[in-house]
Parts: sequence; structure tokens; C-alpha cells
Amino acid sequence: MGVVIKYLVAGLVRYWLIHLDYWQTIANRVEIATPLNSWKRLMEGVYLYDHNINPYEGDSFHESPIMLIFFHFLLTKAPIILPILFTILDLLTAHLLYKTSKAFTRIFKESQEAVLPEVAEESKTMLLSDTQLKEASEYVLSVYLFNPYSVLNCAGMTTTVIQNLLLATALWGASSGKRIIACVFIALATHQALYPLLLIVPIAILLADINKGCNKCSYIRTLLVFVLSWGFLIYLSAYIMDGSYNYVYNTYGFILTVPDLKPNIGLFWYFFTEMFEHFRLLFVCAFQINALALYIVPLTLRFRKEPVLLATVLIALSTIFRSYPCIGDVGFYLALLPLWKHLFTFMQQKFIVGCAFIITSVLGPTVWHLWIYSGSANANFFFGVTLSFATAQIFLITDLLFAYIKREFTLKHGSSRQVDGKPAKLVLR
Amino acid sequence: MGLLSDPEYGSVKWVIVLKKVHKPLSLLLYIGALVWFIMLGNKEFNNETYFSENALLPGLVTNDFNGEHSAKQFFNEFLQELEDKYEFSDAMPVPWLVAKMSQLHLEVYTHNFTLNYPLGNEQVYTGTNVYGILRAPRTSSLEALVVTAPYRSLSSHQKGTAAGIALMLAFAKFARPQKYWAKDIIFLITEHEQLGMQAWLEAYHGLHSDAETFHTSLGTFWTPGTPVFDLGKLMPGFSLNGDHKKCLNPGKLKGRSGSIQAAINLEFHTPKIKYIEVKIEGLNGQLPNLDLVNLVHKLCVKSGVHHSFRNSYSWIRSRNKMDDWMNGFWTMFDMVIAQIDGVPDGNHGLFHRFGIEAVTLEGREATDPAGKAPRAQALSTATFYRLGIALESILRSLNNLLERFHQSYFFYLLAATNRFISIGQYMPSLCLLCVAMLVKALSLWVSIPQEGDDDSDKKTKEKTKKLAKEKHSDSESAGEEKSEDTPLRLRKIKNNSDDVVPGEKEKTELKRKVKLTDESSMSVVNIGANYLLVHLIGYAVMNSPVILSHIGAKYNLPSEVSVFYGLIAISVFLIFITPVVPRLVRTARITHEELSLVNILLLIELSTVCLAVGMQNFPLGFVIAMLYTPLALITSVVVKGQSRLSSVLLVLKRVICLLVHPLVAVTLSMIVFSNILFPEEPFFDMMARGRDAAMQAIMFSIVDSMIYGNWLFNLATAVLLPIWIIFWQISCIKVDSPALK
Repeated sequence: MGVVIKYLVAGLVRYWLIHLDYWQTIANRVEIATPLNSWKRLMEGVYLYDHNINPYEGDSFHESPIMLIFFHFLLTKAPIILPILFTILDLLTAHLLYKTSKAFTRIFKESQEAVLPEVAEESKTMLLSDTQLKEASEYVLSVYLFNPYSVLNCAGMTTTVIQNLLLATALWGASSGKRIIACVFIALATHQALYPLLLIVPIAILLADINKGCNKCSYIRTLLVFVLSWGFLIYLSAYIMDGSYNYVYNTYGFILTVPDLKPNIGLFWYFFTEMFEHFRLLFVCAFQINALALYIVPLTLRFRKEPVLLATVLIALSTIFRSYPCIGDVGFYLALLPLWKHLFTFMQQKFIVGCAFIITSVLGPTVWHLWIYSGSANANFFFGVTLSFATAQIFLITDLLFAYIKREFTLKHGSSRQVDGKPAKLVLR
Repeated sequence: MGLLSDPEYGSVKWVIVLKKVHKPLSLLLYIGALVWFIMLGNKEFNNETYFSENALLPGLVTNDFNGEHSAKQFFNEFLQELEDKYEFSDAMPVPWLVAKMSQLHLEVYTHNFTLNYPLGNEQVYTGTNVYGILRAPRTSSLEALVVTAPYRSLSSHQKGTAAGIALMLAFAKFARPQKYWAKDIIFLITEHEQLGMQAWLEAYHGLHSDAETFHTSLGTFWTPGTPVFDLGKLMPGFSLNGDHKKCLNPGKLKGRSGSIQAAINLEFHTPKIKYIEVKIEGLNGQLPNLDLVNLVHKLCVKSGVHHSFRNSYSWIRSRNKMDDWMNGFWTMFDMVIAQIDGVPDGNHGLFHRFGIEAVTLEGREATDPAGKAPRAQALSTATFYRLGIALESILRSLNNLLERFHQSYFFYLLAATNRFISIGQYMPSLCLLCVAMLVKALSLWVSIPQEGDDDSDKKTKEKTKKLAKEKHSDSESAGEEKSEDTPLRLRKIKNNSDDVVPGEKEKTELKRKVKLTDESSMSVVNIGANYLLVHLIGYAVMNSPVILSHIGAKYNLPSEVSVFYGLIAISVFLIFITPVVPRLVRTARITHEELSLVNILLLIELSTVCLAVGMQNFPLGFVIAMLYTPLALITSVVVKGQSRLSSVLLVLKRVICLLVHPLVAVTLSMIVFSNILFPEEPFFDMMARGRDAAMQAIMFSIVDSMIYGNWLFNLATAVLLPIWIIFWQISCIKVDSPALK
């Protein structure tokens, strides 16, 4: 009953916001809509396509061709259902996340039983109980449904709603061992936004863990299915665009080379407006390596046993460092955090991170208003705020990782930390 | 960071210190903020103004304004015209103005606008503006300057502006044949004061009267007339969509010029003024660029016109340091008070919203209704010639601008006509207040029992056992702790503090904590629901005046009465209902931890709001912080079963809480204000006057928010009211002490 009320309230809030007179303002906010996902650009692309003009020849449309025909179909046949469709898709995402988190908590339970003999006597109280785990998934649901970030994202009708749905489906598929679903949906998400590519690693590990058997064969099979479906999607898109692969420059190319420097909550735009043109390639490479490749290997090596944590952290990191992030992405990974509720007690920077999230979320729009509308502040103010927002997110992630390691350590060695009879403290080095 | 990443921060030194000193520390920060603010008036703490924009080249041209004679002629003719034809009417002499402007070979247009008054019986008002454009001979019309004057009828209770209009016309006559104009000059005369100005600006910038909704954004994919499922239809009478139809219809302009760079608003009653008051405060406390303000002051000096800004007069320079300080402080303080309500004090204030820098020059005589200036009687009287020279130099300086004003400060306070306080200097006082709240929040945060954290009562016990423990821990072997395979290293620290936690004790405590976290974790959803509900209440109150005035109109009540008493009724209702709300949305009793968490969130929210508001409108943010910080500092979670003294204190706290309720605060301040203005009145008259003033003030703020986009009312209802409600909830709900469990 309570769950139904939650869905209902969340759905009504989203639907109401879409029909508010402020909708236009919400849909055009830079924090919500980026050149990649904004509703306005989607409309533009569909309109061009409807008039038999290739939308990828211009510089306004950067969605994948699959999304293009999907929305073209919807807009020509039944534009009236779009608000309700977006609402339902977002609720579906929440539901899938809920399912996923339930599966994940099952995995936690199993892995906890596996390490049970190693747990120190005095740390037994720290083991996860069933009620705690059940609560965690309830929290995942509530956070996704009522987090202002995801609510506003849905109200702005960005294509990130679809992106989140694809990611949630992929995670759900992986958590319940359905290889085909996981791979196809992660391929779809990758085709749309490229960065979900990273997730194939935790998903492969997860699938191998769940479908017990030969690990290596499982990895290879997952990878194969993913590559095949991704390749098929790329081919399909080309087929939609009459066999031309030019759309790639305006989708993947757009994400990778960052030509549109409209401000957003990410870190790219400010650096690249300041940069000399001949250094651009170098720094684009540096930034993209940071977002795509830098963290995956060390984190995978360290958290091989914890694919769920790996997935959470990779989603969060790629959100922070991607070229066109929006608050919809932030809302998505925040919804995964309650899974780690048992780590919260080990986290040290909750207060700082919480304050920073609240303050930057309010100050961002304020300084944006001062900059753009009043003409009295400038770009540095806004960038300062987004930079501290990104810093807060990085704090959150490192704190989460550190807390996980601390808990692991405490489970193994008990909670009294002493060296040579003297109290000691754990330090992240 | 190093401190905060310490694992056992519950027992770290700074936490203990913080728990002890957070009260005096917050108080100190509060006093520090006040002192800082007062110090800003001192010469040592503010700066001399200077020109940042080189392109202005102020005062480098030889003035050749020669329109004194024609100005006098225009002045007399205009007054004659008004007395002949418009003595008993409020209408503007449009034909006369159009005729005069046409004679000067300006491009003359009129502009009509309508206002559908949003409250009560929905009356409709109309008005007309007249404007003439002097096209720049040297460029195409890409940029423009605006000279404007409001029209005031003879029957108006305000000072007229006839001399301003005459000066404007004379200046147009002088400027028309000049070759040097690089920007168009628009001469604008507006009707209905700020309403006309707002309508003209909206029309000039092409603001449409209806916002785009989702369905209109679909463009050709959407066929109009298709039935839409609308939530609003489900609840007739209470529109959820907020029905934000704009009440001002700005109409269309027939002639336009380029982007407006700057505007000068003239309010001269007669040419025989003693000095010019430069008015700068705009909508929502926005200010023009400091360069423009400097320019006006400097050129007034150069053309021999006395000028003033609030308490600071150009002809008075005291040598006494203390006097200087007090003068500076009062000037600044006056400016702060004027900015709080966010209502522009002249037509210039509406330009700021469109990114146009603008000031008003108001002519004042020695015996001015706005207040007597010291030694003004002895000043030489200005003439049309001098005023004309001043206007000419200002406009020619603006004519030199190469880009928009962007160099100098946009956020400042003025302590004198030639001294300013920049944002970097005044912001610390607001930040100190916010820090005071955050310190309190942090101290509450570390007092919430958490893993690795100890209650204060536990701590005292531990202290007594300190010695025993140390021995105990010494005897423990430490070999098992070493683990090199994790990236964690163990670092020995000297146990010079009392933070040793033995294993056994930790275990029992852990159990207790796990239980606690189990209980408190259930609550977060309920806290969130309460939070959401309270903020929705705020949103509903924000939208209530329209409904209230409609209800009032049915009983033939004036809308200000129905809105004022309606808001009082809502407030009283909320005061009684809100402390019960958290009990409605949950089954179990609210716990100490939950309420502490609410308190922490609230403190963070309040300080964030103060900061964000302070970024836009420093005085408003500062005053909110000033009023609410004491409340935030004294409010704490109430524990059951207290001594008599603390229950007396509690009642006191609740009274203070009631006093800073936005509505009560407004009414009280109005009563105090009327007491200052009319000190001899008896008590009840004073109360009645204060009540009427509060009624008016609330009505104005509502109407302003609807027509001009002043967000004071929205802020007070949708943000401050929920915050206040939660404070009220915290001080009204009694919870079990955490120690009792």
C-alpha cells in the first residue's frame, strides 16, 4: 500500500510539473538540459526528420537515430501521451532499480555468508540483517522517486529519462543473471551516451558470479553479446539514416570532441572556452581518458569481488567526468547509494558532502541568474559553483570507497584498532 | 580534511572542543557579523570610488547646452496646458507632447498598455506612453540611451515632474542637430509611474504575455483543440497550475531602436531646486553599475549642481572622524533598509531587470517632503542651464561607451556619494551569520549518536576510567592488527587524549548503536514527507492571495482586507496544525535523533537561503539572517520532563519564535515604524495605523510580485514560511530524551 502511494505521489508530482507554466523554464535550465539530451533539440531533430532533412547535417541534434525514429513515431502518432509516457518511464526506472536493489541485497547476503568464518568475533554485530537489507531497497525506491534531481530531470523531459531507464534495465538484467537483456540494454545505453560502455566490466563480473561456472567463458560470452548488439545497433542506425554512417560524427563524435561549450554542471566547458585551439586535442584526450579509461582498471582490480560497488562507483565517476553531465545522471547514481547504507556509519564526510550538495544546488541557479539575466556576475561564479559540486561528488565517492574498505577491515579484525597496544587510526594513503 | 577523515571523529579533540564551545562560538560569530557590518561605515573599511571604464571619459567635452530659454518656455507652456485642459483629470496630455516632440523632428510614437488587476473584482486599467527617438546621425540604430520622465498630474499627491519633462524637451531640441551622437537617444514620458515604465520595457524587449507550455512547444506536431488531461480540471476553483497569466498586457511598440545601454530618469518638480538626489535602488535590490553612479556624481560636481545620496550630502564634509563614521553608517543603513523590500524607488529600478544600467535624478528643494537636508537653505539654486549642462555631460559621456557597463561593481553599498563598500567587504558579515548556523548544525551532527561516536554522558564515564583503560589497552597484543595487503595502513598515534575505547565496551555500545540506527533509520522517509508537506503548504500559501481576494470580493470586502485577514487565519491555523503533522504521517513517536536531523537540515537550508538571497539582494539576505539566526541558535530539540526553569525558557523560546513569524514580523515592524513617524499618537491609534500599514505593505508586495516580478512575497511565503513552520514544530514537539532508552 505504502509503495503504491509512493509511486502515485511521485508520478503526480512529475506530471504536474510538466503541466506547470514554469515547464519551459525547467526544460531549458542548463543544469537539466544539455545539448545532448534537451527536449528542445530532440523536437528540432524530429521536425527536420519529418521534413526529410537529415538532422545530422546541422549542429543541433545529437541523439542516436534509434531515438530519432522512436520519437518521430510518437510525435506524429500520439504527441498527447508524451508527458504521461515520460512519467511512466521514470516510474518504471524506479521500479527496476527497486528490483535490482533487491537482487543486489541478495548478493550481499550471499557474499557475507561466504566470508562469515573470517569475521572477527566482536564485529559480528556489524553483519547485515535481513531487515536492514530490505530497508535498503525501500530507500533506493524512495530516493529515486523523490530526489529533486530525478524529479526535475523527468519534468524537463530530457532524454536522460530514457538513458536512466536503459541503465536500470541493464543493471536489473545483470543482477538477475539475464545476460541477453543486460548486454542489449547496456549496448542501447552506450549507443545513446557512450559512457555506459564502462559498465560492461562490472556487468560481466556480475553475470559470471551469478551464473556460476567457468568465469572466463562467461566474460567472453558477455563481451561477445555486448559487442554484437552494439555493432548491430550502429548498423541499424546507419540503416535508418539510409546507409550513411555520418551520424556517428554528430553523436559519438559530439560526445568525444565536445564542440558545444554551452555551460553545464560538468567540468569541460569552462576549460575548453579558455583553451588555445592547438592544445585542444591534447586536453580533449586527457579529459576523455579521465572519464572513460583511467579508473576502470585499478578499481576493477581492487573491487573484483564487489561488482555492485564497482558499478555504483563507475556510474558515479562517469557522471562526474563526462562531457555533458546533467542532474538526471546525478539523481540516478544517488538512488544507488542507499544500497550502501551499512557503510554510512563509516563515512566521515557526510556532513560536508551534504552541505555542499545543498548549497551548490541552490547557489548554482542563483549565480546563473546573476550572470545571464542580471548581467552582474560572470562565468567564473557559475563555474566555481559547478566545480565545488563536482568536488562534493568526488568526496562522496572516495568516502564511500574508503568506508567500504574500512568496514571490510573492521569485519576482519574487530573494531578495536590497536597497534602495539596503542590506539591506531586508519588512514587513506 | 585531515581532521574530518579521521575515523573515530566522535572522540577526536576538535569534536569535544566543538561540543563545548559551539554556543559561545555562535554567539561570537553573530556579534562579529554585527560589528563587521557597523565597521563598514568607517573610512578605514570602505573605499573611495573610482572609474573603471576608460571609455566614459567623463567631463572631457566642452559643454555647449544652450537650451535654457527653450526649457523655460516648455515649462511654462506645459504648466499652462495642464491647467487649461487637465486640471481635474489624471490623463496625460498626449497630443501636446506628441506635437512638441514632432516639432523637434523626433520620431514620435505612442504606446498603449492595459493592466488587468489580478485581485478582487478584476478591474482593467489602461495607459499611454509617449516616446520620441533621436536617430544617431553616425550609425545605424544598434545602441540607444534612454532619457525618461514619469508624468504626474496636477492632482497627484506626489511632486510633479513638469520641469523634468521641460528639460528633456529642451535637451532634445539642443541635441537634435548635433553631429556627434553615436547612439540613438530615446526620450520617453511614461504614465502611471512604474506601471507605464514596466509596460514600455516589456514591449520594447518583446516579452509575450503568455508563457510557453509543453503543448505549445510541440509546434506543428500538436493540433490545437485536442483534449488534454488536465489536473486543474479535477479540482475546480483551485487551480494547481497556478494560473500565471500575466496581468500586464504590454501591447506592441510601433518604433524601436537598438539595445539600450543606459537610462537616466528625471524627476524635477521645478528648475529652482537646491540639490539633486541620485536614486539607485532597483527591483529586488538590484543596483546599477557603480561606474554609472560615479559618473552622475562626478558630472554633477563638474556642472556645479549640488548632489546627495541619502544621508550623504556633497556640500557637507565633516572633519571629525566619528561624525564621518556615523554619517557613513547611516547612509549605508538607509540604503540597506530601502533595498529590503525590493521595490524600486524610482522608474530607473525597472531597467535593471533587463540588464540596463539606470539611475534617477530627483530635484529637491530645501524644504522637501523627503526630509530636510542640513544647511540646504544656504545653497545656491540650480537653473535649467546647470541641469542641462549636467544632463548633456552625462549623455555625452555615455555616448562614448564602447561596450555595455561591465567593468565596475554591480554589488556594493554606498557609504557616501564618493565612498563605496564592495561585495568582498560586506559579504563576510553575512557569511559569519551563516557560519554561526552551520557551526550549530555541525555540533548537532556530531552529537547524534553514530558508529565510532560517543555520547557525552558516556564520555564522562570514560574519563573516570581513563587510567584503568590505558593499562588495559597496553596489555593487549597488537600483532593481529597489522595488515599490509589492504591499502589501509595503521598509523600509531600518541594517545595523549582521553579517546581510548576498549574492545568490550565498544561491543556493548555497538549493539546499542545498531539498535538505534535501526530505529532512527525508519524515520528518514517520514522526515522527508514532513519536509515535502511543509514546503507544499508554503507553495499553497504563495498562491492563496488570488483565491482569498476572490472570496473577499463576494462579500464586498476590499482585497487588502480579505488578503490580510485571510493570511492571518491561515497562519493561526498553521500554528495549531503543524506541530501535529509529523504525528499524522507516521505511526511511532518522533524520536530525538529524527528531530535533531530535521534541525540540522533546517539550519543548512536556512543558511543556504540566506546566502543565495544575499547574493542577489544583500540587505534582504542579511536581515533574514539577522532575524532568524538568533531563533536558529536558541531552538533546540525539546526533551520531556524538564525542570521548571527550562520550561519557562521554552515558553520564552516559543514567544520569540512567534515574533519572527514573517507576518507577525511585518506587522510589528510596521507598528514600530509608525511609532517612529508619529510618536505622539496614543497606543491603540498607533496599533491601528501599524495594522493598516502592514495591510498595505502586504498588498503591495503581492501586487508587485504579480506585475513587476518582485520576489519578496514569494520568498516570504514559499521559503521563509516553511522554514519558520519547521522551527515551530521543533520547539513544540516534545520527545523522549535519548538517554532514557
